[in-house]
Amino acid sequence: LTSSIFLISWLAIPIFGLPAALCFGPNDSRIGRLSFAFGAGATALTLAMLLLTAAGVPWTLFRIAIAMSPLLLLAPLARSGKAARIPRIDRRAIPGLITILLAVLVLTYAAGTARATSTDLLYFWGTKGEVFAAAHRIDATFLADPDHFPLHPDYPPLLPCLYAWGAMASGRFPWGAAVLTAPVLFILTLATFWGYARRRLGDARAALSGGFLGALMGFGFIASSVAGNAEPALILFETLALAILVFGDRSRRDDLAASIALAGCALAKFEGAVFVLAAVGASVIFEREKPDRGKALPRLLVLPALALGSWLAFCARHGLLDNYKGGLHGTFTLVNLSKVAAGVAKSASYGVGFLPWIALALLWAVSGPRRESLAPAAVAAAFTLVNVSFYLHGTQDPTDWIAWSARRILLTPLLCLVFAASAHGGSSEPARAGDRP
Amino acid sequence: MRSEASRSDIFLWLAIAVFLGASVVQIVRRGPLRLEKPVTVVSNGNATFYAPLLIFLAQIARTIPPGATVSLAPPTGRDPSNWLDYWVAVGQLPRQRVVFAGRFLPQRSTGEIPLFVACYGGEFVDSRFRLIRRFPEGGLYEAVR
Repeated sequence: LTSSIFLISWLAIPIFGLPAALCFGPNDSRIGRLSFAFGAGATALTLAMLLLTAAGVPWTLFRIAIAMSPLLLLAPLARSGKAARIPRIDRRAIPGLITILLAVLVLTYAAGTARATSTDLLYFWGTKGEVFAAAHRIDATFLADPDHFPLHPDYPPLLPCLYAWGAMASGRFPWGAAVLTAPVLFILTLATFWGYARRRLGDARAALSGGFLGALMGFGFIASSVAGNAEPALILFETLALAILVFGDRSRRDDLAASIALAGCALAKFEGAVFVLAAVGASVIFEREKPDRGKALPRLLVLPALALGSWLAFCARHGLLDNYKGGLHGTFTLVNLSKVAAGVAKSASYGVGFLPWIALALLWAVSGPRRESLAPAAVAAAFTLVNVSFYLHGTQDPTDWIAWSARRILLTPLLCLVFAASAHGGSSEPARAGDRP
Repeated sequence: MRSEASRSDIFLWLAIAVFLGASVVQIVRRGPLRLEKPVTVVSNGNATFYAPLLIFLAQIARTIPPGATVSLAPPTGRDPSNWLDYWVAVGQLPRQRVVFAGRFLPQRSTGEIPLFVACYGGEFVDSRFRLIRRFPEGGLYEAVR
């Protein structure tokens, strides 16, 4: 029962994001809008919990709901840009949608039978969520304790806050339900892809590409054991941002929608900030005309900057700054270059001879490179370079650190490359009315 | 455009089959295929070595009173400064206050002595504590007053 209530409390999160979804979510896909509502709701919920903590107000479900009420009251006023016209699903999409369902079932079984659990759930994520729920706040005293310092006190708080939200609703933190959040977030990720891609690629191609994303990412999730960690949340927010930037129309509305998703990235994981900068940079450089660049940049950056800035201000106030101060592992040096190269290559192979990368390269070769692929490919390259460069700081042997983290970190470049390959999907169907020419 | 799309469609179908297959191989490798709830959240994955510790800590959580101080200590003779096990204990014993073993072991240390010591995987010999309960995975010791 505890697990069920925990998961039901997560299903309530989209309610908080409903106004944002009505304003900025895709207006031609219900499931895409639901995913957007979850992303926006999770981001807003985290910021509300941070705000209550900063104001010294202990969390209760009621107080959190009150803090969120201004957003909820906006819901009836929120209007999407165009009248919603939800197209019926093309029957040719059904085989692809079945593969999406299969990918979901496989991951759900893996996570539900404890085959994809990360040890980091036991060390950090679950523990923080449980402690925050018990303290009814983001427990700065716990985070500042020298014995807890290696838990990265300034690590972005989104997942521990969502865990605390569920734990407060259910009365205790159910570890078994925590690993099931991976398939929940995975379903939302695939729904996001489908919801946004169908307007550009057509239903059949969007479903097939979604099936490919599901099979590849599902494999990646199991191979790198991410259940219970923040990677599934980060991948959801990254998918939202990429889907808007790749399949959207570059309008002001879409830029603000992407900004909401990027705020979620920045609050989900440390690497999320790297993704934000890479995605915004690539979008502005490759996807915008010169006169539009100056306007798009602040629109895309405003919410992630505010979200991360709020968290860092909280950390600075409580003496929690650690990772974000920089220099934690020492200065940049090439002394471990060969170890880093070997470690990253080993992780990148995913135990199957680099099959994910080979499949993506072949897909590109079959489809042929197109201009639309440049931005997501550039995000993959920049994200990988920056994260690999982190391993090149300090003289301590980074082999264990790489073995611990690289497989999970490389899921983001894989995701970006799926978008790069899908962006030039070569639709064999006529474009739907209202699609970008 | 059409032939290019159909070529990439065929490739996508193949890739989907390969990765779904690779996922199933991983699932099969990690444990017997059953439709039942695992004993712990790590019972079948890459961290199965933690399963006995989680079972042990669940028993400790049920045995000692809420609010009590407790430390997860290794058997005597081993380095008490096991941070990873300590963090696992902090998460698994939410109603108790977990004290890091490296703070009060060895005996000459001046750190806070907990009311209970949960020793995992062997015997704990310390004149400041007495054994009060034995579990298959270890023992529970109480501070001598």
